[in-house]
Amino acid sequence: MLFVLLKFLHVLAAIIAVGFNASYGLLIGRARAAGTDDRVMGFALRTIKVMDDYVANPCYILLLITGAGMVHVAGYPWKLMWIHGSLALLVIIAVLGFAFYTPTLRKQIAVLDSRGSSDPEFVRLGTRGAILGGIMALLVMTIVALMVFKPS
Amino acid sequence: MLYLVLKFTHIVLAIIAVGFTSTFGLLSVRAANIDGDGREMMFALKAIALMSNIAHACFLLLLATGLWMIWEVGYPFTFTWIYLSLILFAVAFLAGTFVMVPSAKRRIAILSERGPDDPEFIALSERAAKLGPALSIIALILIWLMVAKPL
Repeated sequence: MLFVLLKFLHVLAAIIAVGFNASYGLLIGRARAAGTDDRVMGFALRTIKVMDDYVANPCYILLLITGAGMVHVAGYPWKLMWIHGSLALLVIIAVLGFAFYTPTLRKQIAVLDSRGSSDPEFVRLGTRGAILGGIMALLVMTIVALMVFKPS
Repeated sequence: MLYLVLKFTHIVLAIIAVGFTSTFGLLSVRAANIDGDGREMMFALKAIALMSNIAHACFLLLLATGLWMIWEVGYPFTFTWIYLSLILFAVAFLAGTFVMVPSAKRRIAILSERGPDDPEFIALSERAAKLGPALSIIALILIWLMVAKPL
């Protein structure tokens, strides 16, 4: 029963964290489509920041806790490739997220507020954010694949 | 191998469909809390309409991959977690298709014609705010059924 409860929380956290992450590109794309309205872009970026700080990132922490809990409860050895591989990828995602993506988003908001969306640095930060988002999405999909295919 | 590929696809589709729809409440609330000419609300509703369309396509593919997995493994439809999840899925999908999506489109139209203070816009927003959590509870039960698989 404990394992099923942990698995439920794990799946739920994965759906919310990754689903929220997947919406960021779409929100920024829609804000760009709104034209040169910096107020809409500011709203989109601030909403993404709230989504990331208060929903997606806590869900990633919950993912790690429930994942480790399941490994412990089920007695899986850590040396299994899908376990240590996914853990390593999650650490890489966390580093990319906390050390690069979040500061990029913060800077984007600051540059937007001070110099507007046509500023070259804002454009450069937007490109960096999109590249980071793409890399993180690829890593997340690899983790999902490891969880499903469970290579030993 | 086919089963695992289907399961992977099923999970990715669930992440996109349920994940996207989970953002709607937060987007709407943040947009509603900003006073002004409704620009942020218009942006939020258009984003919600776009994500709803993507989520709907994913939900249909979720159903297809789910049924394919049942057929592949040979699970009987008499299992509680299978028939109950199909019933809940149908309820949520119909509510989304015939209530939530038309409501978002109607609100976009009213917002551009009459602004965010229009009584019909407020009434539709309140209805969506009530239905959203109900659909989220259905999604939670569906995920629980998929994980716990009660017979």
